This record gives sequence, structure tokens and C-alpha cells, in this order.
Amino acid sequence: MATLVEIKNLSKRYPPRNGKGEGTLAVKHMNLTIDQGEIFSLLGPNGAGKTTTISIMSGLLEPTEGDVIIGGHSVTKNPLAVKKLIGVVPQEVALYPELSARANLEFFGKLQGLRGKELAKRCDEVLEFIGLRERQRERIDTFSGGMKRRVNIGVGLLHKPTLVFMDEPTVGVDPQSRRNILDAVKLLNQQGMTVLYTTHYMEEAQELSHRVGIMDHGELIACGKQIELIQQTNVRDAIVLKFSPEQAQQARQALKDLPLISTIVPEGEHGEKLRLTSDRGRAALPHVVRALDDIGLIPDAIQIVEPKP
Amino acid sequence: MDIGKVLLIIRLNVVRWFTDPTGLAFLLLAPFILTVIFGFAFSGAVNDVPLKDIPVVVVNQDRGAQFSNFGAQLEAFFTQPPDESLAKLIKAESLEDAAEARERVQRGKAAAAIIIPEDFSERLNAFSPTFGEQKITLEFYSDAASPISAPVVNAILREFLNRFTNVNIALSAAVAQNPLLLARAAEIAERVANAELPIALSVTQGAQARRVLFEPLQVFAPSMSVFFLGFAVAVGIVQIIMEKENGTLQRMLVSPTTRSTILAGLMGATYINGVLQLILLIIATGALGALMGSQSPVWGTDVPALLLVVLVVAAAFMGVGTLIVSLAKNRVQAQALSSAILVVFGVLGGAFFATGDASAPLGPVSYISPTFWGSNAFVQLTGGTFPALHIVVLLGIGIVTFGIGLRLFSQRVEV
Repeated sequence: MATLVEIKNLSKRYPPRNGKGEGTLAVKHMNLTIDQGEIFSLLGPNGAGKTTTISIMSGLLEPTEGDVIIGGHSVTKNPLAVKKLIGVVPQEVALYPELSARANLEFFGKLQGLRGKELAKRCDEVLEFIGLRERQRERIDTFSGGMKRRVNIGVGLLHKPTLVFMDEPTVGVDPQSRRNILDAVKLLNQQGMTVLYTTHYMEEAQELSHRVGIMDHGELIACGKQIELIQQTNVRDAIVLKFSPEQAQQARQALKDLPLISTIVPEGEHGEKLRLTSDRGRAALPHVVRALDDIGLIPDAIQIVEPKP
Repeated sequence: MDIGKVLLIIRLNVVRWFTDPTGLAFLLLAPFILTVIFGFAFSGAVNDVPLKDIPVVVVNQDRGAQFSNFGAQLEAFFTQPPDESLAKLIKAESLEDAAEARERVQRGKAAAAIIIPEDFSERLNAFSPTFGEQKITLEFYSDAASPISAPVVNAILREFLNRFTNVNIALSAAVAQNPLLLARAAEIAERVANAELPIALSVTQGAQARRVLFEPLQVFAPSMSVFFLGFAVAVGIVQIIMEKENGTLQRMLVSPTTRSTILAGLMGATYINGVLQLILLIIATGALGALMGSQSPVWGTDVPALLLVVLVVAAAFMGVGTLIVSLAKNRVQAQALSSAILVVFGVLGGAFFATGDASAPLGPVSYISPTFWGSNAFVQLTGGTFPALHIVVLLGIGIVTFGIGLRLFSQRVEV
């Protein structure tokens, strides 16, 4: 498959809040390619750098270093050409609450350059796709959270983008709406759209993606097809430990030097889960518990997860 | 810049206003209501003058008597006060025409007019056989809008007249050295004691009770309208920052639309809001002024020039607003920055101490304030002068600040 996205040595440093020091390095020398027709998931906890990466790719942020090439166009040099190719579904619902679903779609559709019959047709199609055709004339602020999420997705798809960025679209939604969103992503992909999907749920990444990249503290710490990831981390099965976010940080520090642990991937919205992989699989658990006990930490929950090839 | 998309964004925001009619009404009508309230609340303070250099006009029509001209003495008492404290308090001017003197009071140029009748000396002549029999009427025409200054002048006049009468009586008695006259002096003194004052003051308040109510509109409306225009722009700025916080600005920015187009559209909506607010304020205060008998139109009579000033004043503020949007990173910064700038412009422009003329309240430093140029452009229009320089300066402020704001927003703002 042809390469659609090429991320080259991408870095982003935010300026320091108080004007002192070097600021925060949110993305560190990231290199990645995404093929046309692929669903690629970026997995990582909050603060890992996923949203910053998408913001740079969609032209909202300037990179400190490096560049992103999408469809042959540089994001830094030719942002308007890139923006014609992309659709963005932001993490938070970004709509005008006092306007109807259709009015929102029409406004953002016109900004994308759609006009007249074409715009009307696309609005009808998208409303059908998100299941809100019957309620298209109702104000957004009368909708449930799940319905708002669906309109939020619809706006990003209106102009049939080649590449869609979906930034944690299932955060805070009920299980049924989550299921609908995941099904919609698969359907879009079947229709030919390339999807860059960010999440902090491993299960979502496993279900949706052709390939997964794991980000933490601005670094892409692992990347590949699920089977490749498993081989890459030499995993038989994984141990998932749940803590409070502060305890998870302490546990991570304590476990990172344990020789039999291959990888530690933070998960969950606040990084409150740690997914450990080891060439000894679940047999590493007693060593893990002992190491935690040494620093007085007891996990809230322990789960053994078998890999899904 | 894509004009079609600029208009699209403007239209979207106008449609959004109409989804909240209460908010829209408040935004558009509040300045009018507040201007009227401010006008009435401060009308006394504005129309009265401070207690120094109280402007008084004296019309001496006295023909004089055989040995004296008491009218001239009274006139000199005010125009060349005998002591320094009085000289500081009163600033009197002599006039020949009583009608002109009354008109000056009506126009608020003098706190009071003292009109001395032509038979003043004749009737005050102690040697006249009819002295003291008839009251002498002296007209004191005061400005009803001078609740402090006019009574002060009145009290000074009464004090002078009392002394004047007493001295006159004593003088007439002493000079004559004549028992008959002395006896007559006693008789006059008795009459004086009974009559309190042989000179009657005809105290008239200018027939401007209705005018007084609406002078404040002429004084306050221009500066307040420009001041409130600043608030309309500040509201627009906060709405743009809220678009950033709600994510809709980012949605626009990820579309194939340049940043300058988006900002021009958002600020364009604010501009229309400001223009509408100004026009409504002008129509409402103008109509109210006419309804209540204002002697001259609150906003002058040159409607095309008035419209031009409205457009350039709003443009100047929109430019400043664009600059603020490009500098502020969040709502708190936007609110703090716009409030600070508005207050500074207001102080420099005289919004809080309307001078009612085109003077710079804080000297040349006032020239940086669009509030100064805007409110004085309106004042000049009211006075029948086309404010060409003001229009050029306001347009310049608008273009420069809008240009810098667009550039900064396009280059520096990360969302």
C-alpha cells in the first residue's frame, strides 16, 4: 500500500508556563509512516503526546522540529493543501450548541468548500450515517452526550476526507454509543478512509487497528502490527495492574529495573493502569508483587490478559 | 483572504445572536439605558460649574440719577470685585442686551444673569421724595441646571444689596445734615426694617427645565456611546476566545481556510454588532432628545457624516479588538486585557469626565485613545463641523491594529 502519512523526526516543545526553564517536550523525535487505507491507533495515557501529534498533523500547532508529509504535502509548508485531505474528530464535542445538527454540518461543510446540492447531499448522507436524520433540525444543546458525539464525528467526515484523525472519540460515552462509534470507524475504513485513531484503551486499539503505536512521555516506544508488537515485546501474556495514578507512577519506577520485565505501558485515562510484558508471561507475577511489596504498594486490581493475535 | 468565507462566518455569528434574543436585546439596549441613566445621574454635576470662576453676566440698563449711578456700582461690584476671594469666586462679564444675557444662561454659558433696570438709581435716590415707597425690581435670571452656583451668586447679590441699602440710607441722612432729612432717614430705616429689603429681586429660573434634562445626552451620549462600543468589542473578543475553549475555532482552523479569513470573519461579526449598537444608541438618544424638547439634535444634522463616523469608530475598536484576540491566550487574559485597555482608553478619551468639547482631557497622551477621537468626532458633528482629521485617525488606528492583529494571529497563535 502507498504511504499516506510520513512523520519525520517530529518534536514539539511547549514554552515554559512561568517563562523559566526549557518548557515541556511533548513529542520527542517521532518517526512514523501510515499507509493509505490503514487504521492506525496511537495508544497511550493522557499526557503521552497523542493529541499534540494530531494537532501538529492538522496544522493547529507548529512543530519545534521535523515535519509531517500528508498526501505529498508538507504540513508546515503547505498547510491548506493538507487540510483539504484531512478530517478531524476532536476529543471534546466542538459544535455550536444553539444551532441545529444540520446547521452545524452545513456551516463546517461550507468551510470545507462544499456548496449547493453537493453540500445538501453530503449532509443527508452524514446524518443518515450517524443516525440523526430524524432529529437534524433540533438544537445540539437538546441532544444527549452520545448524540452530540455522533454529530461531532459527522462534521469531521462531511467532505469525505482521505485521512481522518479521531482523537479519543469514545471518552466519556456510554457502552452502546462506544460500540456505534467503533463500528462507524470500521465502516469508514471499509469505504476507503485512512484513520488515525488515538485511545488509551488497549482493547479498542486491538479491535480496530491494522497497526498500533504506543506513546508515552512524548516518545513512540513501540510500533507495529499487533502480531509484530507481540513479537517485538516477546509476550506470551500480559499482566495489567491497576493503581491510583500517583501509585502507578511509583510502581512504574519500582518495576522498570526488574530484569524479567520487558515493557511497561501505562494505560487508562490518567495512566492508572500498567500493562507489563515479560518473556516469562504470567510467571513473572510473583516477582512483580514482591517488588511492589518492597515499596509498600498493593495494586487495586491484577489482571492477566492473553494476547489476541 | 476568502471574502465568501468571511461573510459565511459573519452570517453564522449573526444567526447565533438571534438564537438568544434576550442576550441580543441586552447587548444592544443596555448602552442606551445606561447612557440615559448616567446622563440623568450626573446632569447636575456636569451642568453646574465648580465653585470658582462662576460665570455671571451683568446687564446694566440703569440711566443713573442726578448724583450717582448705583447700577454702575453694582455692575462694578461683580465685574471688578473689591476683594480677592470674591474675584476668585465670580467671573462676571458685562453685556448690553438682556435677551442675550438670558440666552447665555439658557445655553449653560453663565450660571446667572443680573439685569439692572433703567430706573434703578432713580428709585434708589435717597433724596427723592418717593425713596423707599416703591420696591425696585432687579432681575436675577438663573440656570436651573446650576443647583449650587446660581444660589451662591444670588446670596452674594442679596448681601451686596443689603449693605448697599443700609449705606445709602446712612449716606442720605449724613450728607444732608439736616434734621428734616435725618428724621426722614430714621423713617426710611424703619421702613427698611419692616420691608426687609427695599430692592426686590425678581428671581427667574431659565425656562429650561426640559432642556436641562436633555443637555446631558449631548454631553454624555458621544463619550458613553464610544465607551460602550468598546464593551461590545470586548464581548466579541470573549466570544472568540470561547470558540477556542469550545473547540469550534480549532474546527475552523483545520478546514482549508486561512487564519486571517477566520479572524476577519469573527471580528467582522463583532464589527457589525458594534455598528448596530451605535446606530441604535444614536437613534434612541436622538429620538428621546427630540421628544423631550432638546434645542438642538443630540447628534447633529449631518446624517451621512454621522454614519461615516460610526463606521470608522467601530473599525478602530475592531482593530484594537483583533490585536487583543491575537495576544490573549485564554478568556481570563482576554477579559483582563480588554478591560484594562478600555478603561485606559476611556480615561484618556474623557469618557468618565465628559468635557462636552473637543479638548484632550489628558493632553497629547489622549491622542492615542480611539475613545478620544471617536467621542470628539461626534461632538464636532453635533457642533456642525465635519471631523475629517478624526475620521482619518480612527481609520488609521483601525487599519494598523487590525493588520498587526491578523499577522500575529496568523503567525503566533497556537490553539
